[in-house]
Amino acid sequence: MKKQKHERTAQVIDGAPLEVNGLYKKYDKKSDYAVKNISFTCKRGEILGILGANGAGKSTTLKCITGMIPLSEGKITIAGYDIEKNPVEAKRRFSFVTDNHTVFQKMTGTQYLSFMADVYGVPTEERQAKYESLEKVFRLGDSVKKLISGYSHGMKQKICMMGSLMHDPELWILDEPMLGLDPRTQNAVISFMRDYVKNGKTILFSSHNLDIVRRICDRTIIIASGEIVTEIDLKNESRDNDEIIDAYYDCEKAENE
Amino acid sequence: MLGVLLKKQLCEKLSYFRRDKKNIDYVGAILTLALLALMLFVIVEVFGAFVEKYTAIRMYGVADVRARQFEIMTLVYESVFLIGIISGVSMINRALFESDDRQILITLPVKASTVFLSKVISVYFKQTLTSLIATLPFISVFAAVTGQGAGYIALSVFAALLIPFASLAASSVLCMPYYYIKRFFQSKYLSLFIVITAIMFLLFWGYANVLDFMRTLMSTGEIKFFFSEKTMTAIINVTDKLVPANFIARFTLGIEAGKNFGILLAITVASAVTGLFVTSALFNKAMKIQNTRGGKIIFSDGKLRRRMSARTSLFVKEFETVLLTPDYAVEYFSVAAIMPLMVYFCMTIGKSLLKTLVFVENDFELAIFLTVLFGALTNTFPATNVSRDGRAFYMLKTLPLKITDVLAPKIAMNVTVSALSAGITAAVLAGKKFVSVPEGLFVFVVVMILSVAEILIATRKDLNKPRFSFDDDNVVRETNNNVSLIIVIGILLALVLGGIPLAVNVMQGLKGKNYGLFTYLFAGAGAVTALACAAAYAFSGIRKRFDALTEGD
Repeated sequence: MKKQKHERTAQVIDGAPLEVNGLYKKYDKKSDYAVKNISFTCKRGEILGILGANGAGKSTTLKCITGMIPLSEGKITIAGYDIEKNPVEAKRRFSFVTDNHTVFQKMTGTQYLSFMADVYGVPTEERQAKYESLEKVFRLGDSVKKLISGYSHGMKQKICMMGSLMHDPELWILDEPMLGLDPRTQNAVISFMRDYVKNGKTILFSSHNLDIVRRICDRTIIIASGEIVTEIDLKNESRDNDEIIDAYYDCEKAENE
Repeated sequence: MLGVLLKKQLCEKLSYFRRDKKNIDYVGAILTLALLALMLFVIVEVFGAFVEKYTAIRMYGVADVRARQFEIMTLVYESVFLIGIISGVSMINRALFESDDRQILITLPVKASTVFLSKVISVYFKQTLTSLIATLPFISVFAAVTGQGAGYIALSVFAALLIPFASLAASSVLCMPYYYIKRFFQSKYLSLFIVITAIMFLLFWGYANVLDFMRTLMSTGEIKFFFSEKTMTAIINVTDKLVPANFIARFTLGIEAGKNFGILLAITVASAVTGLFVTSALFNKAMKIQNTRGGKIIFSDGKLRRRMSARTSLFVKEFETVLLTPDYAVEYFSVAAIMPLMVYFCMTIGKSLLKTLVFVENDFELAIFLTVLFGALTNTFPATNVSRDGRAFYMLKTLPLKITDVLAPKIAMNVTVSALSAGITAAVLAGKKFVSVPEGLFVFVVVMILSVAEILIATRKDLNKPRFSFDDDNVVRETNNNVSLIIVIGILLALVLGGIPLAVNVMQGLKGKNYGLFTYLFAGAGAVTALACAAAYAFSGIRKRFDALTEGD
């Protein structure tokens, strides 16, 4: 039994942070597929962006990856764990920030962070230091002592991000992460993301903001009408390269036609 | 602009009829109709008998039927007036400060007084309907018993339309102080919970005592001695001063009708103008205060707490959510806290009624019946077990938690609250010698088995179709099918598991036999069967439902 556990750990280290193979999702039998044949892999230490217009299928893809909704077809593995067959182990290895700051409103900021630390099993002696390091980035100040129901949209987004980072996830997944954040916090989050992946972690996020994607991502995939239409490597390109803008507008034009 | 705002409100009201038929609470509607029918029956029977007896009272050997009629109807109108003020304060407050549209309206070029007027007009129509529904049965019974004509009924209906004017005017004046008091208590969660529980406790205590007093008067015939000359003089003096009900009663009974109508009109207009003036003046200010208020610091150290297991953390979260949400705290903890009192008073009255009517004592069976019945009231709360999390429930699905980790802490909280409430109830029943200690223990066990069954059904129903709140405060306020269903299940279980043994024992008691063992076997086996059925329903396909639960469900 012990040996099996050891082998599993070795497999985790070898497995890619995220592998999506032939993902299809339709919400009910009568409707069309919201996403079709989505396949991609996240490499360790990279920031991968999913770019697409509103309703392109970005959020659906992320919801399938995070186990929020069941897949219609396909396979998703996180660090080697199948999200459908072994959901708890898979979920231990990532954390997700939704686009509508889904958070418990009747908790104070500290209660929420403690809750998230409990769920991911963060030891008592580490959690205060972790909170203080995150506070330097997100700067919630005394608001952390207040009920979340009284927070602004931006503050809710910050507390969601802080909560999701309490256990230093291997894979950090974010849906439209910059929504509601002020420019100072946006810059702080961007530089935090760059530092985060330097430590061998991986970030996957969705956005419809071309500029944000161009500034942060090492690689981006563009989704239109539920399908991946192109993939652009931004790591070795100049950040001012207009390829991503052209590709995005080509997709949008094709979708409208 | 007033017309535009009124049209908007009408559209919103009509949208109720356009909603998905699956969302209509049919069970709740039937339950409400049944309760209304029961109330009507009580009014016709009890009020009719009371009017007959009261109007026959003689003072110093002289009967003054007209004066007695005036006193009765003054008390009826004043009660409707006072209830109108209380509900009016709450309705106006909700319409002005808690409605979804206030954030939009304050940014539009609309005068605060216009917004206020549009809201009050809508509240007026609601109050008029309530006032008519509340007074019509009394007016009809009174007219039938005292032989009043159609003219009396027409005048009384007209008067019922005037009452909301007067009560709403008073409510308008009182709604601002109420708003400030509510704001003061808003972040004092524990104090608020204690105050409201104490008020509910006192109200129920008062209600139970009045009910017991009336039962004693009616059943023993002491009513004749209660209305002595001294009591009657006090009633005459009080009813003479009960404004505006005294003027309404005189006007409808044709006592100086013209003069009293004039006074009534003057009071209505004067109080309406005063109410409108006072509230319009304070409305804008209050609105701005509300929009700029910041959250209160409620735990000041700002430190993260010690590590707990995920399940313990979720369990703590459930308690905190209820305690920090005044609506939930009242709906759940306060109801659970006053359950022992409700059972105790109903037990006292029920025991006495059984003794008077059928000359038998079946306290044990009565205790099972009442505890199961009132226990169901507490167990309606789990019908929001999933909905209370709001959209954060979807977030829970992305955390490394099994379905048992997510649902077990919710059920554990429900069982803890029910156990405390039922435990205290059983202890009170045993302490007050209604039942022996083993019987009290059995009552507790049966109620807990049934509570677990009700909690499981309620939680599964909510998981099947959660109703997330879209209000700013994320509080689920809509009473739905699930809540009504748990009440119906509770009534049925109480009737079957408490009612049947009670009926069997009453019938056998009349023959001098004791069927105590039957009660143990029937109630025990029935409770276990109910739990087995509930568990089969709750756990069947639960994992599939949990996984499939998604936005738009």
